[in-house]
Amino acid sequence: MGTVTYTVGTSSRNYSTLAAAYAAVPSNLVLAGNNYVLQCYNDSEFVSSSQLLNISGNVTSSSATLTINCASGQSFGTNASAETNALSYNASNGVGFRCTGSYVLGVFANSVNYVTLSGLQLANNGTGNEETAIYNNSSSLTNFLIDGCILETGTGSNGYSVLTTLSGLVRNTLIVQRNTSGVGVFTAYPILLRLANCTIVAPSDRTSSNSGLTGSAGGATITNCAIFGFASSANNSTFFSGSNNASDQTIGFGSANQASQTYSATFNVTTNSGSDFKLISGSSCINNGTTDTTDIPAAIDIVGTSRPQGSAWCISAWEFMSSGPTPITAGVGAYTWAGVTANLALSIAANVGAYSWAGKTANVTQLINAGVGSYTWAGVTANLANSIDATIGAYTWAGVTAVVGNSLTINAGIGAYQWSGVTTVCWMGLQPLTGTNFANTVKGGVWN
Amino acid sequence: MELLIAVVANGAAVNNIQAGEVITIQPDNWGWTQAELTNPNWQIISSVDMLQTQANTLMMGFSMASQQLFNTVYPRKKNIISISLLPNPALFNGTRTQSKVTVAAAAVTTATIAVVYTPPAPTPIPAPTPIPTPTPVPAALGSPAQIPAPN
Repeated sequence: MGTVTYTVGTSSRNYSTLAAAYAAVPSNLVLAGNNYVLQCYNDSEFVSSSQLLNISGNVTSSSATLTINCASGQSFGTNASAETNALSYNASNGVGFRCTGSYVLGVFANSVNYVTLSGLQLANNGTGNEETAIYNNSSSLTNFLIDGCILETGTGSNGYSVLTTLSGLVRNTLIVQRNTSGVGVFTAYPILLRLANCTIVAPSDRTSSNSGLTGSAGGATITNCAIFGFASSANNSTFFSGSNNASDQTIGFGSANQASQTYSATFNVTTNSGSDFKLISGSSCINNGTTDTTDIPAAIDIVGTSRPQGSAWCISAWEFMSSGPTPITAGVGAYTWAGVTANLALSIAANVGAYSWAGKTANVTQLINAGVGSYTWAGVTANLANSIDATIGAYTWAGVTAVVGNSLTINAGIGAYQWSGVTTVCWMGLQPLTGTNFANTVKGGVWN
Repeated sequence: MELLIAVVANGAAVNNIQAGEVITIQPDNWGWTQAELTNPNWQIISSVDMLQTQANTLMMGFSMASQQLFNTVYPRKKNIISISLLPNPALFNGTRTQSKVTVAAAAVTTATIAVVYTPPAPTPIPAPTPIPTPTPVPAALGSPAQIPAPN
């Protein structure tokens, strides 16, 4: 068996539309004796008012498969800035297929065995019913794999589901339901369906009235999935099993779950505008997944980051890297921060998030770590005796209010601290600590 | 608009691409690839006066989710173009002599026919095997004869 590859993009490729490339594939791949790959290029966004691909009627086998993927560097997951791009549908980041019409039953539909969709972005932005990104009405499909994709539906009048599939394996995939009445994943006879390390979300400002998972019979296995923003995580707990899932709602199925978590403390941006469903520091999804090399043998996340980065796999499609992929180091010198010049005496590293410091907002992409030494920041000199990490909250330091907007934690080690010559007082819950010497490590304190 | 259509079916199954099925519709002067312009099983119809609503009719799937039965095979499209009803059907048969054929939208509409298909009825559940009539319980035996008293 060989492999026949058709490229898809503009007129310089083999085919200008995915539908045409698919139509060129023989109906009987086994008889043709080949695997077929439809390899997409992000020459431009694939947009249509009608369904973009309907895979049906093909004869396939384990050695005569159909794969739809992206050429090297053409997927959002292999984009040069994949680690820092917002995790949400954006055709600028990679190959994207988007339907704009009403009553489009799936940007893609599939009823064929041995089909793999990999590294694709699909959005159904229709305004009517039956809006799905992928539709499969067969419970008997074998080896239907959705791998490392972004699936979305828009804010149309009546939502259906982002993904309707009665069978298959869906892994490392982001599923975003932007319609308030739609569900994330719908499955009717889910005996063969498995979801592994998927992020299934409704934006926090869309007030969903439905469930992340909806089924009508038992058998679907859900592992390491994050289900947030819906009115409930599942419509009926008896239909689902699995483990190590997370939600802002209760989770009535499986074990080792992270239930009733805070949505905004889990992902970078949870609102409909500017969505970014990358995990953030402090999220309960971090290091709380289970190793699942059965479903994900390559042990990677949606953009190819190796799992785990910490002590265990993360829940969701994203594997959190605490140090970031490309640490930023600032050496001694003068820096401008949100319009204010700071003279920095020692090196710093800054982590993901938006921070306001002394009334000035700055976007930081790495964890702030300040080592022992003297710092001048926005004209205020600080003498720091020990290292600190700063996390979410408002802080007053030497008479200057600083607001730290990301979910990190102030950790003050044992020792003496001074900031701009002002003695610090730190409270820890109902146990205030005063003076300049700390008897214990302080976490989550307030400085004044 | 420009319509890429199949002029022959690519298989015998009801859900294979059918002759006259519209594969994709693109704006006028679309940048078709060489394969799309020359594939002998396809033809491109240039219909500059076609409206988006007509295009949507040709691209409509056979049924919507609310009408679909799970585990049921359906045709791919609700409508196809009957090639024999087009103005010059010979251009759609045999060797592809033109990369594009110009057809007015009204003529395309005239040649558009609805796909008729009735999904097979679900397999009936076999009638249950009748439970055999139970064997009647034999009538009660009479009282045992009294053993004669010993002499």
